[in-house]
Amino acid sequence: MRWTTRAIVAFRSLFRRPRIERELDAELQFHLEQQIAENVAAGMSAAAARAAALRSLGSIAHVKEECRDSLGLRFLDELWQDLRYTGRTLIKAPTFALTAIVTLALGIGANTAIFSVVDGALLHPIPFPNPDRLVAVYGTSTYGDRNGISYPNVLDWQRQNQTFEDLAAWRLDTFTLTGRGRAEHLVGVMVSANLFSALQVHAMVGRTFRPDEDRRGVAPQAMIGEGLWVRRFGRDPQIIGQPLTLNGRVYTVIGVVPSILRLDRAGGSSFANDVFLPIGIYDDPLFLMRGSGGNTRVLARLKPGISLAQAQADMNVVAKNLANAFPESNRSVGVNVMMLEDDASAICAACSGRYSARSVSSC
Amino acid sequence: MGKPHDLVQGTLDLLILKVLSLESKHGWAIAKRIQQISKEQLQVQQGSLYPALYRLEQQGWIEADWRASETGRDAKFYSLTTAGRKRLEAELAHWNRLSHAINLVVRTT
Repeated sequence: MRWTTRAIVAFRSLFRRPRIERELDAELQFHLEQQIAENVAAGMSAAAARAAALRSLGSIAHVKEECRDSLGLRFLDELWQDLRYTGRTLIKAPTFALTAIVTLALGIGANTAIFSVVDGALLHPIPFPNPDRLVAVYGTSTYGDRNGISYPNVLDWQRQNQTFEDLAAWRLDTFTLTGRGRAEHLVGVMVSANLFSALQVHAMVGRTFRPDEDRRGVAPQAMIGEGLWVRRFGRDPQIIGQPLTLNGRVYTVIGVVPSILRLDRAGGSSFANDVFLPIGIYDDPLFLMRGSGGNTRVLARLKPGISLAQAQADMNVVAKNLANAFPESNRSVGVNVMMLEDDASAICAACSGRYSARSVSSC
Repeated sequence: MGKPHDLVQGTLDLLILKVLSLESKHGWAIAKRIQQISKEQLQVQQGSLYPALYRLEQQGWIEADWRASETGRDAKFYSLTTAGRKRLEAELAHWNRLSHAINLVVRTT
């Protein structure tokens, strides 16, 4: 029997147990009486017949035990006995029990803590230069302290802050690639031109976006991810300058982004970054509303010598200015600046499906 | 037959299924029948018999019901299920192959 079947049988037997025990007794009793009757028929006295029958049957307790074993009950019996024995032993030696429990608790706790740190710091280090200056910047509201922010607010953050070298925006979207053989559904990311300088990532081939390409009304340019470049274009460097049709709009390919850069939502499914487009050319009316929910995420690089607290104080001022200027949309919008490293580990622990800087884990 | 080990246990299953293939019997009668047909060569101890019966019942090859025995007392009667009949065929085929193979070895060398 497979162990699952065994477990089901044992579980069922457990509830029918009184009946099973009764039947087992009756059945063995019947056997015994038959044996006695046979012995008597062979000429023995009643007492001798009974003694001989009992002798030939062997240990009835043992037989019953074997039968219970066939039903899988013995396993449960022994488990229950072991548990009770464990309980009694622990109660009798409380000092030992307490020591053992505390030792296990501390051991398990320490292990978990260390592995969480090691996982974040050593196994998934942020793969960009000077990661101690990289931060995630979130909006805050009554709904939470790691919200996305609307694009108009991001532009003001960029203009008004004093503490960041680069403050970069990004958002995920999906695109349909057509015009090159079979159509393909892609996950892409819209980024501000300065995302690459903020993370200090360079194009593998070609170049990254210039600031003047990151606005509406210019000829649309695109970069492709290393994954797509390998999968669809066989690493062909001639891809630079070629047209690429995404959602029916034609872009010109200007560069290839190495796969160490992968912007992603923490938790849940993990998305490829197959194409990169300048976020500034996106003209969706909702996206351009200051008061929209805002699913734009922000990564930034602190200026040298600036601390996290200084950056937070600086952004608090910016948030206050914006709240005064646009009370309708920004009255309760605050700013939360956190180290990218801490953000990644916080997300690992919570895994709540929020966007985050798991964002920038390497592939 | 002493305490069951692999071969004995396997063959005991076969013997029980075979005996039950004709008619349903209670445990005592199964033991007696095996003893009788084997001309007293095979003694089935209840220590082996009943665990085997419980196991076969769990596997769905035999089923049991309580009814009056020939002496008027209620006894637990076992009978073969359809699955048990198939199992008997498989066990018989296996036994024939095995005994034939053993015979070949024993007679040749």
